[in-house]
Amino acid sequence: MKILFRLALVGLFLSGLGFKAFADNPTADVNQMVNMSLEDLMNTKVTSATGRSENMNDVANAMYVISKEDIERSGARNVADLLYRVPGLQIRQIDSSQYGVGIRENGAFLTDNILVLIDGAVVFNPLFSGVTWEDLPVSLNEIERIEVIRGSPGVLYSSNAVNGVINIITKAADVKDNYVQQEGGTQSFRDSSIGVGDEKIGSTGLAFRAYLDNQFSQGFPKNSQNSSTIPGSFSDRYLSDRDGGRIDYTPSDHQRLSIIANNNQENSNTPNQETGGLTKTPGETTSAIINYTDKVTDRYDYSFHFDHVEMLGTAFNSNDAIVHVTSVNTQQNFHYDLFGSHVSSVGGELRYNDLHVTDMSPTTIFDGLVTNGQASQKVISFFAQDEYRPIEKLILTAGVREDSNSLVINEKPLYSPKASLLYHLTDNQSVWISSAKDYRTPSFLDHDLAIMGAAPNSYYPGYPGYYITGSTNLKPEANMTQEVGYRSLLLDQKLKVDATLFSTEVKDVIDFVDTSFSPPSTFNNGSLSTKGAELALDYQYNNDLSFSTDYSYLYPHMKPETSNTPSTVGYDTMASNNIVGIGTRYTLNKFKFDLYGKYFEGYTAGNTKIRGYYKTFMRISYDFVTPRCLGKLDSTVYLDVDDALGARQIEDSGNKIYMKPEVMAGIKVRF
Amino acid sequence: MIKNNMRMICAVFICALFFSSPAMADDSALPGTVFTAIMLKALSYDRNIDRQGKDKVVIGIVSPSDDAVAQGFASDIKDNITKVQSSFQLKGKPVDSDLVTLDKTFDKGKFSDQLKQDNVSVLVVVVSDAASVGNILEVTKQLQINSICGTPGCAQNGVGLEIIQTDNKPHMLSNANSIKQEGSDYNSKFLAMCEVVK
Repeated sequence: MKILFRLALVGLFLSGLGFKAFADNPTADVNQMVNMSLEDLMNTKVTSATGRSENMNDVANAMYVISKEDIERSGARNVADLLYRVPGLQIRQIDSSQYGVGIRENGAFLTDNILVLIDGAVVFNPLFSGVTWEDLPVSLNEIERIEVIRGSPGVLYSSNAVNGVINIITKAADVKDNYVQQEGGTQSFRDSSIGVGDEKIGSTGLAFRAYLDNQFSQGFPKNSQNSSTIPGSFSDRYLSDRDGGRIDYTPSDHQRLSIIANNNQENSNTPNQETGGLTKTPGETTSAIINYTDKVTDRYDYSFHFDHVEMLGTAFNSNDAIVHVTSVNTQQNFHYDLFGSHVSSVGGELRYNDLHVTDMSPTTIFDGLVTNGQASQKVISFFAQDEYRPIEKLILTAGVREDSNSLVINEKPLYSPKASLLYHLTDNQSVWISSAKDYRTPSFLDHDLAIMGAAPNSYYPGYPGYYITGSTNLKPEANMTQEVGYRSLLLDQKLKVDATLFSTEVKDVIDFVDTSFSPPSTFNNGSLSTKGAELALDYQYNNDLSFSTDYSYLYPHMKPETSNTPSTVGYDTMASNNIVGIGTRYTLNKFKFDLYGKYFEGYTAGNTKIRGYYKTFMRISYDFVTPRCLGKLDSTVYLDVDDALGARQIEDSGNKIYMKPEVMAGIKVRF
Repeated sequence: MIKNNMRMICAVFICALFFSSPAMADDSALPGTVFTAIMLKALSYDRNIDRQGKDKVVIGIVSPSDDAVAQGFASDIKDNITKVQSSFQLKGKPVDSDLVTLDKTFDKGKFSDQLKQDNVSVLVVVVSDAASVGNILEVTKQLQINSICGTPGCAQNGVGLEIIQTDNKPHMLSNANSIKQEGSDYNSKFLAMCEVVK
């Protein structure tokens, strides 16, 4: 039945419209281009910022693209690992599989304001509007690129894209990329994967691709240095089976239909401090996507998308919450000239979320969902935007989105406008500014549920636990964002500079408190203002050697309305954050070396350090051809050292946990 | 609810699929800068690019003497190669370029001698008519020289590697037989990025 249902899911997606090709890039120079990877040269298209393909230099957003080459050379084990290298993101690894990813905010476990897409399908869980990264139904080997927008992305994106968008784009079926990969590490990590795809079958326009990926980790033994809070050492366990496939059909050069299905069945075993055993938290995410694009003429193109995502309870306990997310959207783009050139985009979206919850045993540590039942959410959206180039160097963009969300009181329409300006100062320098208003509407958790988030004594003696009940009287969080950005290529185009200053003000912050305080439910609690700066430098010394560094500063300030209520949101106690990243990449004939590290620290208003941690990735690889008897296949062997600079330290509110480094070896054979 | 919507969604999908009007394919030449950059990066994937055993990789750019447009494009490619000469190498060897003019009266022996004399390892064929490359390719195969062109359809006519734009996006096509006969050894990672013409 499930297979039939997956097959029945239909989505059409049009993203290939109005390509702003690299060839048209006024800032492109052959020196700059030969320093890019061939993959990047062939794929410089960017779809995230406007929903259309667009040159990155023309985007008035803080944006970063993780290319296929970045992924292959990174030593990352999952998507969250890859995101460490993006400036402005704050990521906390919680155990072998769980991560907190925040854009321009602390990397809280349940970050609830990022839109995460896989081939256009929304994969954040509407239960809490957040992402369980270990459940993402995608294998690293199958990712073509990841586009990350920090800040408001614009009116063409779904709700929840308040702090940014992480857009994961997988490999097309008609690109031949067959591989077998095996890797293993000293902390029991292992991964086996295979992917098969081929060029079009004859003249039918049909192409198929499939993959399998099995990952296991028992690593990351954590050794606490603070025995009063977390005694002894413990480790967790993660096992995941990912598989999927896609069919691409290109009946003509201007039409493309993709049918994509992915599944991730995972089983996390987290240490139970009270029983001394492991608590199983299995989860499964299945997605089915259909994208259709058609460039009808040079003046008109459109996309159509449909997806269905099914998520089986990963939040609290085994299958205690089942969420179905179904959405359909279309975007129509019109290109015309009127006192300059215009691209006008209009479209709409229908999203339907369906939640089923099951009461859990009160004896479990995580008491889970207290209420049984079903809830649903319907979101209907319309958007319009015009991108106007009065002269070649100037791009003005303005648009508005209207969302009607059934979890908002009286389904009051919410209007989210955005305006931006980008100006090319010279061939190699540009500045941009933007202003936007977005809404984060309540999640099911905020609105409907009653949950024992954590029982007293769950973590250590005296821990009060917390209890959440939803409220149907919540106003959506309203977020105003202002940004100024600068991009340039300096020093004979060897130095790339990307800088952003931003300011955000979130009103009616949705907060929750311990039940010992009043009110005992989610409620709107004042505002949160955040100011920050991001700077990324990339220096290409020559064709083989490059260096990169990035620095982000974040100053969040919570202004609660109820001063005597201790907020449990988490970001209120943090007054400033510093994030520093540094990396290098070197190629010597068939040897490749990559190193990247990131350091995070957080301080209170009194300048007391309450958080500090880092993570590093290193990969050394060697390309070779298998002997003739093995078919002369292109292959790569590699050695990864996770946390090459020593044991990782996670320090948070007095808890110090060290995770041991892991050395991994692997081989990838392409056929 | 979902079931009800499925009917509407399927109907919209079918409408979108069948009521859209067809458009013409849009293959054309790339600008010289983009063509040159992609060509140089592509050559770095050829494990036999140094098979001539010379101390530098000379890229010959051939265009007909009576085709001013082709000659202009050839000059553009040469200028771009000159710009990156100081920083770009292929298998540790510097890159150089050489303009070669193709006379109306094509003499295969003379042409072959000139390529040998100029130590050409790669030949960029700049022609307006993709079907007119046959004689040239006999020489590239004989001398084990990579043939590359930027004219739509030339890979179909036997050129080893075609770098063009399709719908304003760079696109590469490789002729598997020609590549083999010319002695090139592109790795599969590179070939995965090309449309293979047999």
